[in-house]
Amino acid sequence: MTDRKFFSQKALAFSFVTAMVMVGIEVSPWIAFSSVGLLIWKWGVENLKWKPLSKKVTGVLSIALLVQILLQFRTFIGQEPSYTFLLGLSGLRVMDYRNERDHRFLVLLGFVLVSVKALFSLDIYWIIPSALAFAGLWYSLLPGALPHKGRVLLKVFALSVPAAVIMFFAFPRVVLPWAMSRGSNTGQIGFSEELNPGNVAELAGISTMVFRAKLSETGIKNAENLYWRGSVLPYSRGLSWRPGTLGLRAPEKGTEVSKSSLYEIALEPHSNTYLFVLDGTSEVQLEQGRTMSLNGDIYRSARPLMTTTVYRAKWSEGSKDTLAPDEDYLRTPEMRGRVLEWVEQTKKDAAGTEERLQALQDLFAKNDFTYSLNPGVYGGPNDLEAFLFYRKRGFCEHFAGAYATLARSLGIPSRVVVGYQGGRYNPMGDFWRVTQRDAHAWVEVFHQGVWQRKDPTSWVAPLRLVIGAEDFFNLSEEDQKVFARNVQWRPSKDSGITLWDRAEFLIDDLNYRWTYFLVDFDRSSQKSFWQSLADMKLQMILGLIFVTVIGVLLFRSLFRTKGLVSEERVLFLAVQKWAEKRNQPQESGETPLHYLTRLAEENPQQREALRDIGHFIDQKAYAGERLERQSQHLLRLWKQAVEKGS
Amino acid sequence: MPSRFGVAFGAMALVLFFLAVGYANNLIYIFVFFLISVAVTGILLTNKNMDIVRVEGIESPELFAKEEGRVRVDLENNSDIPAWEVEAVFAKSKDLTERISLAPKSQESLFLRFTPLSRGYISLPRITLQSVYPFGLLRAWKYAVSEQKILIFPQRRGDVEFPVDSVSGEGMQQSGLFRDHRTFQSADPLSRIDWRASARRQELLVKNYEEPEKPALSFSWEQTAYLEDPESRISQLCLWVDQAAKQGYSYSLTVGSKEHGKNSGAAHRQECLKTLALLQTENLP
Repeated sequence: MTDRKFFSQKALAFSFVTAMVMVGIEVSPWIAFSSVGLLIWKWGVENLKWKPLSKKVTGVLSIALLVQILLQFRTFIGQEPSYTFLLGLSGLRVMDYRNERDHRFLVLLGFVLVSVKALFSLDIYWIIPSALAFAGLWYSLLPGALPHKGRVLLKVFALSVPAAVIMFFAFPRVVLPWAMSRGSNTGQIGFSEELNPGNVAELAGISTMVFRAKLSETGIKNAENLYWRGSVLPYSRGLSWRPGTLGLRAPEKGTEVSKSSLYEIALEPHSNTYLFVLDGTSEVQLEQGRTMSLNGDIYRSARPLMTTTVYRAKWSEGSKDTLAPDEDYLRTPEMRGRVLEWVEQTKKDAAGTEERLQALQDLFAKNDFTYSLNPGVYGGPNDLEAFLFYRKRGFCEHFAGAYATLARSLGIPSRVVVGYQGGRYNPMGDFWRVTQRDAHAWVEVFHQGVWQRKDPTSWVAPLRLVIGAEDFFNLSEEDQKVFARNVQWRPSKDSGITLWDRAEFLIDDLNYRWTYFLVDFDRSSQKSFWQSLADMKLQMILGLIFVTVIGVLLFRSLFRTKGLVSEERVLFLAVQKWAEKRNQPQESGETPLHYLTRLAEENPQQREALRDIGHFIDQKAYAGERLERQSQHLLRLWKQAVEKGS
Repeated sequence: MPSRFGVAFGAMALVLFFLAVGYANNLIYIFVFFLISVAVTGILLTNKNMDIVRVEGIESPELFAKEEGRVRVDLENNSDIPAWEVEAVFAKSKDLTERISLAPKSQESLFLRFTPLSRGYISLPRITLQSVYPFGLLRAWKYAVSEQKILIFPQRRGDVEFPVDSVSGEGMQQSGLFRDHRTFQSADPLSRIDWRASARRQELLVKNYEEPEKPALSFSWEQTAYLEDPESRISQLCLWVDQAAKQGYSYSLTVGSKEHGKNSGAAHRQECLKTLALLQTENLP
């Protein structure tokens, strides 16, 4: 086998390095820098005659990499361990690159890199680099001496598309009974069913997308009204709250809600079972038998959600949970210090629930609380006291946790709801985009026979709810503090939606459509797709025939008389084909020029064109003249002469 | 038939497919299906590529036992599309030829290295024509079998020096026999001018002479009696015949009842070598 240089194989080097970069930006710096180092080293070996690593050393390093990953992650499954392993292996294999076998191994490894990237990142943004890497890897497999390699590859791809499309739509989607984990405990969206001080604030610090929702039918236009329920926490520990068993909700026996509308959510994978629903949701349709409806208007999927999941939900304005709470919803930890004093005092001052609720609202609204993503750490035996009466800095979870605990101690059954609030509306795609920044916690109190929403954040920082988390957290901390209570205030923007915003909306819309229509093509959508095709039987058959004919014609024409054929040969073949039809074949031993001369004598109408062609072939093939582009002209003249003759 | 790379590619595609099913990931489904689709298109092209190549003939120049020679495979592409990267290999051999491409309506030849093991008529091993174009995933092949047997001459082995008793006086001719006249050229020595003839023809003429004739050689089975192994004796005779022909000697060969009289030229050499190639040694002394 002949020696090869990695960086001389431009197509391979470009596509493989692209695949490495796509994976490399997601891994720990040590492995990313090691891989870059190996690439630079390889470049030095090939261009500056640096000493290469021997195969023995790379073999030992591969084993060391395996051991390191096992020690660090204790598994190979999951995004980070698999990315780390593949990236490290790629760097070492590039260092080993010497011959055709290594070349082919790298091509296979490149395909694996691209597909593993697709496994963990469904975003449309990766399609372009992935497609480039994919095409480059195939390109690098074509024989080096082949002319017009790009064109050949394009044709192969064009011919492959129909089969790939048919396979994609026709292949039955099997849902395995065992779910493969992506190896992440908290899941991609990071939502967890705990309310420890700092949890939600930590989530809100990152802008990863959680879900997109289409609410057109509901008529909701304001972000303020969007409360997305994720989970209900019934156990109070003061400032922090814990989840508990909610129990399956009994089938509805109450009155039918008069007017309900449907909305759709495309939820990003999170390796958990949460289904986020709008406050007021009465039913969720995922796939048959796959959702569970829990008390507290909470919904769960029966299986962990490993892939982007689309579900539909029924919503009606004013729909409230009426399930009466038990005594557990009044249980609090022991109140102490100033908290106890405040509770005792309020109990004396406000006898009824309404008054007590008002007193609670006043506590938060009139005591100069600061809404902040960085309130500092709360701990110690009486963190509630520290928060309510001394530091007074908190995020929504602190306000919700404290409010609900105080409400319970005042004898009002209450619970904390965690989820998301608001979202960013995309006018291009008519959907709401909810990110981790919208993470939120609020309170529900049982009063007058229904669970009523109380959001202390709306008293402390109403601006956060009005302008949305993204715009609010983009403000400086000083602005946040000053304008938090001023609902009329708006961050200064040049003039409404900027061009950048539009581009962002457009890309996000494309991404959403991609996710929704293609990536989430599951068994049910496959069924409905085929059903809709079956409804159009005739059109389908005609369409298929059309596609087949086009495909066959493409295949025949694209690979005809190209490549090795010189232009004078093309001309001669055209004449020869014409003459054979007229029963004037070339005789054995007859040279092309003699043949053309004979044809010119026997066919006076084409004589001139045949002489020109003869002259061209003579000059080009025998005299070695460089007559660029004349053949096209002659071919046209020849066709005209033939048409004229017929 | 899939190449090694094809098998590895298939295994990788299978793993990716299970990944797609396991994770119910449609993006990987798209990726895998397109990957497979491109591979299948490549495989169809590989088959089509080989399908248009026809074997016109298999030719071999003279081949000597245990000496590497070349067998020519003449290929023809009668179609309107080129055939890319075609190579040939003998059955059970790994010695591939270089890869050639055939333009539409054209002929090309491939040359296979071949080392016959014994003399006499043999059948050439089956030749496999193959191509892995375009991606190297599949090896499409077709067999080319030569129906005619080819004659392998004995191995040329032994003493290069001719035996002493092979040179006889008979047939020796004096050198410098006059052949004809030709016109004088400036480089010719003056001594070669035939003045008498020049005077007659009114132009300077020089004499042309025959090349000095070499002695005729006689080779016989008996001359190799010092070698015990009959095959070595045949190889020695083969070497002498070949050397004599190369050096332009006239020679004769007598092996048992077979006798080729004194002669020279390619046909004579061919006859002598054929006799040696087909020689049965049982009845020889």
